[in-house]
Amino acid sequence: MRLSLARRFHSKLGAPAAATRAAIASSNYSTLPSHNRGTTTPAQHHSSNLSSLLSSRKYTTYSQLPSEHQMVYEMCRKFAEEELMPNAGKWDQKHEFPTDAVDKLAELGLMGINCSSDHNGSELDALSYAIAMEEISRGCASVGVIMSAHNSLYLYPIDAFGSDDLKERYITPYTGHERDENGRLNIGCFGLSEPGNGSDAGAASTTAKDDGDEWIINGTKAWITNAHEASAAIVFATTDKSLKHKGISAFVVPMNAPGFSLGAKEDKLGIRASSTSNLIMENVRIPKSNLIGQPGEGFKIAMQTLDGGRIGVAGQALGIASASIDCAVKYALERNAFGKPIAQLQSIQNKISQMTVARDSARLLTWRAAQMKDNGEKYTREAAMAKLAASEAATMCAHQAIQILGGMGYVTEMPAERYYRDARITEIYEGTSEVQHLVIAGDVLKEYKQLY
Amino acid sequence: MRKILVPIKRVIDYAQKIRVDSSKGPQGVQLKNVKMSMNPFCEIAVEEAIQLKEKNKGAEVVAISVGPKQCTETIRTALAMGADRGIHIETKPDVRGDYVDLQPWAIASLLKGVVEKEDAVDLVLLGKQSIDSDCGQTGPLLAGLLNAPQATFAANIERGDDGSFTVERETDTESVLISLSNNKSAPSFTWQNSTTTLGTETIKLNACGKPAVITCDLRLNTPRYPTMPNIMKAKKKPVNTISLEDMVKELGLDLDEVLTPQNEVVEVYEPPPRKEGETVGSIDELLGKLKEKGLVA
Repeated sequence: MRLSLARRFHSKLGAPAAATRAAIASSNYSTLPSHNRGTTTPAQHHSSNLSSLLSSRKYTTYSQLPSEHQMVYEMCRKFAEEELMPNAGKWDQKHEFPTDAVDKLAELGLMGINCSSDHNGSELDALSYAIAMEEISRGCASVGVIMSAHNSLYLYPIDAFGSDDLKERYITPYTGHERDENGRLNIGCFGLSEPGNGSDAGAASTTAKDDGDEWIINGTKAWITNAHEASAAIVFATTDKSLKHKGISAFVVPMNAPGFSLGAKEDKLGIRASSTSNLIMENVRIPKSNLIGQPGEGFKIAMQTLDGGRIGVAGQALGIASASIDCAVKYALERNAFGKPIAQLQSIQNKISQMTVARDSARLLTWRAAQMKDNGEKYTREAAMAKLAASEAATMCAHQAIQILGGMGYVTEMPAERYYRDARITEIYEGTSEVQHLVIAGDVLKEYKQLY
Repeated sequence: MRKILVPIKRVIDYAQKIRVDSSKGPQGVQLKNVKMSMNPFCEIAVEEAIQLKEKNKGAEVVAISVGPKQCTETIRTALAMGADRGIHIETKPDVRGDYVDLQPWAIASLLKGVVEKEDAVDLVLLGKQSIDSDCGQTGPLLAGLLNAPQATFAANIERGDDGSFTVERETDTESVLISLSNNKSAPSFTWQNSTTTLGTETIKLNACGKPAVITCDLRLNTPRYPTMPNIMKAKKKPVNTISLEDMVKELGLDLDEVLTPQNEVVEVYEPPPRKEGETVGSIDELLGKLKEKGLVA
């Protein structure tokens, strides 16, 4: 009956439209893609295998987390409160890289958090990483970005696509437990963006020329986090321009190579304790073995790396949002106006509620993406959703935190203004919010098209 | 060095505001949805044990806790800091759910049994007191029950090659450097007057076949953050869980005696709220008021 109703009503629109509408009207809702995607519960699993049931269980609240994730949460939170929060304002004001704090972070195993113990890594999963990123960023967002650029953007591509030899040379010394000749930590950076292309990652103009047993790299990379502290960089360069984005390859470039230089440090609005600058490569020669994966695989490596990186950035944004909420609520409970604490006023309560809902929903999206990654499921869409939601939550929460603090929110005496400045970048790097929309919509459309 | 036993207690987190819950009777404290963690002085004891283990290869650090099933989390934290294995004496939710039920005498009796069962325990490190009951009795009671040498309020511990421990203790008065020797044949303590140091006293616990019992104070060390790799390793370390009833039976103790409190908590109340201060007009007035209250001669 539904079918004929649809046909009668829409017959004027022509056959294709009518057919589509009829198809939708007749289909059983449960076969529509959105209902199956990423929402299987143990009840829907018909497997009687206990371990597969357990592996598909989703954690949504802190109390549900297994004890190791809870320990990660406790440890990172305590570290952030004791070592990062008291100093974050000073580092931001002085644009000072927090060397001691990052060293301590490395000692705790947070600079090699997902790497295998074969390379002195901590072997923790993506959910632990998301939790750690949130707690660390709640203390200091700059330390958060230093940690995320190193873990998701530098270590991951080598770990996932590099040869064993590359891993020995560029992961093992970089998981936070080794020091260079000057006693400094080995940190890495990720060079994808260029002055001429950011969102348009396929248009890389940096080139890598095959020269026998070496590659010669020429080009400039822009907006590179950790540039001034790193000793190795993942660089994406075109090996075959005719293949367009399929002609891009990924390389590990030691930054002390002749011809490698750094641009001036950018003077940023936020995350000022971390350094950002250009990488300039003029006839930089690297051994053939420094290619990551296969020639032409670069774009795929970049996209896959950014998927995981988005979970880290979502974590960072959640940390900034949480810090903003903490600051705002504590202030609202103490500040009196009209004879009572402003926390009792409805306008303030509305804001507190909006901030908490935005932060908590973004956190659920982030944990979902992380758990899907851990379960080996495809998580591109979910990671994009997490990053989009979390970064927008961060800017909203930081904005409202200043509003709740009023004049106090505008001055450096309270951290609200720093959260506002730090939050802004989360909507831009590792894929702007606009790009995230495209990724999400593209994936949704692909799924629907497959059914029809 | 062979085994170091570290008893740890799961208490209300030190940063939480305690609320009196009168529905639980005259000694009730609200425990629902309140964050619990390892007693801070116990954390210091665990840290000291691990530092000693790092200096003495081959030593084993055993963390032990008495309490409800959530104590395994507290033990896991000790394992993540570096302890090698855990023992959990599990109590039913109604016992030790509230600290007043199992008291230092019961805990010390259980620990004495564990020390004797474990054998080869060279040192028992405890926090000086727990932040919920603040009794500070478990360490000294255990030493008494074991007839072992003890030092409380340790601010520094050094282990000698002969197995003795030299402990610097916090005191309230000017102190004297003392050397104590617990001689098996004639337990005597020889005091030697040497240099004076303000606020501490140093004791040497000689190796005498019994474990040294030392309780730890704040200045002893700063507990480490458990590192990520250690958090992962903690999952694999063994924790032996045994019910209180089974443990009591195994040690040959009397369950009723263990469960009967030696002390009765008469009342628990919040301190009176801070009263508003008085503003005074001049220094003379201030001095006058202070003299009136007997605070200044």
